[in-house]
Amino acid sequence: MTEGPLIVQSDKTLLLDVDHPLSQECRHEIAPFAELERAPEHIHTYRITPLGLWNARAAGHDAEQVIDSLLKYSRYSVPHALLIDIADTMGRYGRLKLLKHPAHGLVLESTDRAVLEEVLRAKKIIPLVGKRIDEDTVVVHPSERGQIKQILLKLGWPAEDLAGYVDGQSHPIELVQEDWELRAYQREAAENFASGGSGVVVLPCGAGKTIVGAAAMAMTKATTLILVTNTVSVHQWRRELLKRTTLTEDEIGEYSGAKKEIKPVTIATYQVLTTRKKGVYAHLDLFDEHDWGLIMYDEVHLLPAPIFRFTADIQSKRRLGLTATLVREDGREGDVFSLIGPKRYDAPWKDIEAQGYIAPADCVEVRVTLPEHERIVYATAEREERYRLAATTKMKEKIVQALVKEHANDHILVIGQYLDQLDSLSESLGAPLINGSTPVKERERLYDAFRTGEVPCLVVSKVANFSIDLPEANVAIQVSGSFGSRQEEAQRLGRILRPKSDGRGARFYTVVSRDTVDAEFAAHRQRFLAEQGYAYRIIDADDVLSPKAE
Amino acid sequence: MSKPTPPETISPEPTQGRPRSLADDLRRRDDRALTQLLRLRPDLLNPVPADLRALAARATGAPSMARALDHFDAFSLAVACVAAQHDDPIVTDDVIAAVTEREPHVDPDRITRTLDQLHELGLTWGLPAYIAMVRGCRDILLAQSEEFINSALAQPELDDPADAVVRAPQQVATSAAQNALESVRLVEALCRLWTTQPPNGLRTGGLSARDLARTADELDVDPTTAALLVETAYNAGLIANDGAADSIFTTTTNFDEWEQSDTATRWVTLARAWLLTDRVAGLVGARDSKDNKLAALSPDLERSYGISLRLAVLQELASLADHTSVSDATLIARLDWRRPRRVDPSKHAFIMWTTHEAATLGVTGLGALSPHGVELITDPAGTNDEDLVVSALTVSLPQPVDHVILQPDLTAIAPGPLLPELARELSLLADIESTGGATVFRFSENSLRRGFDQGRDAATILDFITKLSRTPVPQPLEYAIADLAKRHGQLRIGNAACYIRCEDNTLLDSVMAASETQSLMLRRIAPSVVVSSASPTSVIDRLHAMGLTPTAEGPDGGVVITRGTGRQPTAHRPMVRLRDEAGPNERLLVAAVKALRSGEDTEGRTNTEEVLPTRPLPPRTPPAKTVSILRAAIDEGAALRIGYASSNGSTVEHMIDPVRVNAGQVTAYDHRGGDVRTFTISRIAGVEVIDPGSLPTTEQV
Repeated sequence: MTEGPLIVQSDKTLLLDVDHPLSQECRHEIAPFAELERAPEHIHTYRITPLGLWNARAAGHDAEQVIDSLLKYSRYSVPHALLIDIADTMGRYGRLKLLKHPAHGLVLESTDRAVLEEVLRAKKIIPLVGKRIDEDTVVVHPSERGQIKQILLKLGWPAEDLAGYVDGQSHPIELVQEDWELRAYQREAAENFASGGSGVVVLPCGAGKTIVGAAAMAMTKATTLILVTNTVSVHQWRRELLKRTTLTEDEIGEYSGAKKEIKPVTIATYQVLTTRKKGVYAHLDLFDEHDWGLIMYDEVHLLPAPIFRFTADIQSKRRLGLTATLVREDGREGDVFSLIGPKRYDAPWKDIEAQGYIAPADCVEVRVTLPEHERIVYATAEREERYRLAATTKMKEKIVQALVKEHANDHILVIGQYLDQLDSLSESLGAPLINGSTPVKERERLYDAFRTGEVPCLVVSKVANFSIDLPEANVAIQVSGSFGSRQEEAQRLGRILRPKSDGRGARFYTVVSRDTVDAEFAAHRQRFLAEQGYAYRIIDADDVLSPKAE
Repeated sequence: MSKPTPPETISPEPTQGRPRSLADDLRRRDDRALTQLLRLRPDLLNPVPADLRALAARATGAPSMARALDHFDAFSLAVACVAAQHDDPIVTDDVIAAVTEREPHVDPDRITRTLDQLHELGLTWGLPAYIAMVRGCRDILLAQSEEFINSALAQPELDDPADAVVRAPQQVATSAAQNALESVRLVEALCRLWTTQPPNGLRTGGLSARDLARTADELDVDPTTAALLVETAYNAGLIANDGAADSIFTTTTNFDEWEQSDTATRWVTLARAWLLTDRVAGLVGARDSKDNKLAALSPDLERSYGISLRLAVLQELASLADHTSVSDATLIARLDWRRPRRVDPSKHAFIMWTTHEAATLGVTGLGALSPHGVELITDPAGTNDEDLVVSALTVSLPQPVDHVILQPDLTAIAPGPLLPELARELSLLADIESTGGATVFRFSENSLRRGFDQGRDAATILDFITKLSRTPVPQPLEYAIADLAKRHGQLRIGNAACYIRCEDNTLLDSVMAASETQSLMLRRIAPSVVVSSASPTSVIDRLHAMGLTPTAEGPDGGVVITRGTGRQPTAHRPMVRLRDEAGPNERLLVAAVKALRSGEDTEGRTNTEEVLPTRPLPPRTPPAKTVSILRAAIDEGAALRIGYASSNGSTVEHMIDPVRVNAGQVTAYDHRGGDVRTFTISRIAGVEVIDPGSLPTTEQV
């Protein structure tokens, strides 16, 4: 029995002892096929899933390597059934291939006739395929390339897409590395994409996904369509691309609610693409308007369902997904795999933090006690009202004031869900408020003021959850959120993880009402933080209001 | 043994010339040969025949001969068939010639050996030069097809299996041990589940498919494994039907004991329960002849071949080179070759279930028999004092750990099997999230509440966790425990049979103080409310006796009493039968041969009671001491003199060589009757060890 760092569990999770001398080495070997699920301080949990194994196959690993790694690092004997299952599952990938046939166009070819017979009998496959060319090959309607991949994955026989890409219209793009340099992991991520083909790059918030995107564009050198979550994000991408690449103002277009420009590099919002007029998607032409050579999806885990449908139709274009996590709250990880592509690169938060590229964070939960009269109101309130009551207690305002005062020299974001509460906070703190109705111009002005330090504290609603780049923010105070959303927690923490120019650490406060659903939701979100490796501590409101001498 | 042995042959017939019959042949055999015959054909021993003539008669019974021939492998059976085609006397050289005519390359020794085997088994008799075959045996052999004979002769030995894989010994052992550990854990989880949520028994005696599916879900295993676990736990006597009208399956008192044992011992209990049962878990879900689905735990799962075939499968695995695994198909082919007369394609599924179950339970690892598996089939019933299976498994099991690693996400990870008492306490306080090489526990409010409900307080919980953990206790966990402690028990619920409520506190004071009410176990839970666990009628009676006039309140004010689930049936002990495969005990064989010889000698004697000279009876001994003397005598092979209360009330002396003590009875060779019989221990008045020299031999009698 070797004293390895890895323990294989019967539910296909892998426990990695990070304090073990071989843990780094082991992590590198298992990362391609196992999904990191939790990364708390001592023992990380990875999970082996069919998707993960197929991701590994797509990246060129075979079952033998996977099994070898498990046997090599495992502390105890590995359940035999698990090894067989791994070999079986990996063996399912690639028996079907999508290829470009010189005479017949797109075809589905099989190395295993029985599998082909099986899938061709599936009801959902029948309308997607044409005539049988020979025993192992069948024609696929070119427009159904995405659709058939999606369904084959559901049938458990994921197809390897070797049909290639159209190059699209070429366009010169170079990186301009004058006062900055591509980090090693960013380069690796972009190279993996360039050599592996369409796929997803997983990097934590603040690790510079935009730069990976820019690097991928510089490698592809073609017209590019970038899909992002909102308008602010459009502007941020634009700013980054101008700074990092040879692209000029004239070459970058914005396609949003306000502007409809189409240029060699066009940045569009998900929202405008999914806007319907009289029941039809009005802006779908954007995909066909131009002979795009690359399509990039920012925040893939938020990709709305209609975009998946459009993506199914553009399978001949190169696609790159960027995300902080492959976990989707709606469970559509399979669609990401079959429509955008397998995972091409992955690096856990803590690793990048250790390299100094994202700031370390200290998470604190401040517990306030509801005053007696609010407790009565809370106790007798309807269920659906309870969270709002607990989350918006006036008690929190006092705490926020005290915290803001304590961090007088920092850049503070106060984040909340309820507008009344935010209004009131904005007023009592004397800090500007940004919410959904703040005009884009005004938002950007405030963001700029915050960046320069002119405005040290901003009160923001959930509009700030995603893709705003406020590198100097180092303190976040969360007063309310969308119930227990872990996604939101990650995004909010991400706001303050950009490395600071003076190397200061970040502080993430959550103000929570004791003994209420607020505390329950907080526990749920904090579990997620702890799983990401951020330990948190609990302090009492009284300790904030009358700080002990430290 | 120091006792004098009877003369080798006792026969009224002349020993010269050839034997005239099987009985005559048997008489000429020495003790070793007779013992061997009985060892190979243990059915002849039930009961021990009176003499060799009776033995010969029994040995020529058709069912017994068929059973003897069952042990022939394909090649030997084919040779026996060829021999049977020759008339008596069968001449060895003729048989060799006939066989080599069909199959030129057969080794003549192999043929001679088969003929010897037939003789050894009492299927033929006579001297080597003159062999006569028992008629019934010949009939059975002649029924074999020519096709079988020719194909069987072509394969004199089992070839090395083509698909054999030799595994690394260490991997076989640890992989099997891992599964063993997992199966023990699953059975324990099953029992715990059924303690709190016992499923109902079907009217036909089994477990409903729905309950099996639910159990499988809860244990996170597939239905086949669930059926195996349920059946194994049942066969081990850990769960049983409580036999009530609305019967439930729940844990027995045995479970409490089992749970306290160490892992290896617990596994051995399960493994033996699995091995030594005719119940076939693989049948669960299959359809019977009436197209009904067979339910787990139903009586219809028994198959007479269960134990024997299961043992045969494992023994076949053991016959391969060490640490070797083969495919099921190969295993089936080998078993068919070894026992051609028992070839039955309908049992192939059973063989595959057996290999699958053996893997699941950790008898095999990577398809090869594990070291503890080898010990298990060497001593299936666990008759040896020192359990080698336990020690073999203990070596392979991962070392238990005595600590966990607590993490900020409120998980605790035991990086190996946790010591049982720690695991029990921790699984009370935290939920198990994943198992395998390690165990991942998660603390939650609910799980901690369980601890408080079981009477733990914040300080004990924290203390336990702090001592258990290698890492500091995360602050949020401390908070969670403290928070819960604060809230736990704010609302209190108890059982009461009735209440007394009264606005006049002074009157209640007097009720509480009165001598009439002392037996009612009154408890004042508020100034105006007293509860009692006595029934409302008896409370009213007592209050009447005090001269008060209480009124009963309507049912809407009553307290509902819930029935506890504290039913705990005693274990159903499935009968463990070890048939011929395990072989009879050596001591029994020796005693039986002695009895047969003595039967020859005392033929015609009518009253054995008066043969021995009268002597004072052995001194009285208390039953406990009797048993220990008997056991000691078995161990040392000593002879005993006992005073035995006979059925007519008098106490008679017997000289016995005890063979085994079982269920209040001792089986022994009785020098007086010259047979093997059983004595009821409670009827043994006194017992004393006798000096070997004073033992009367059969010649003296």
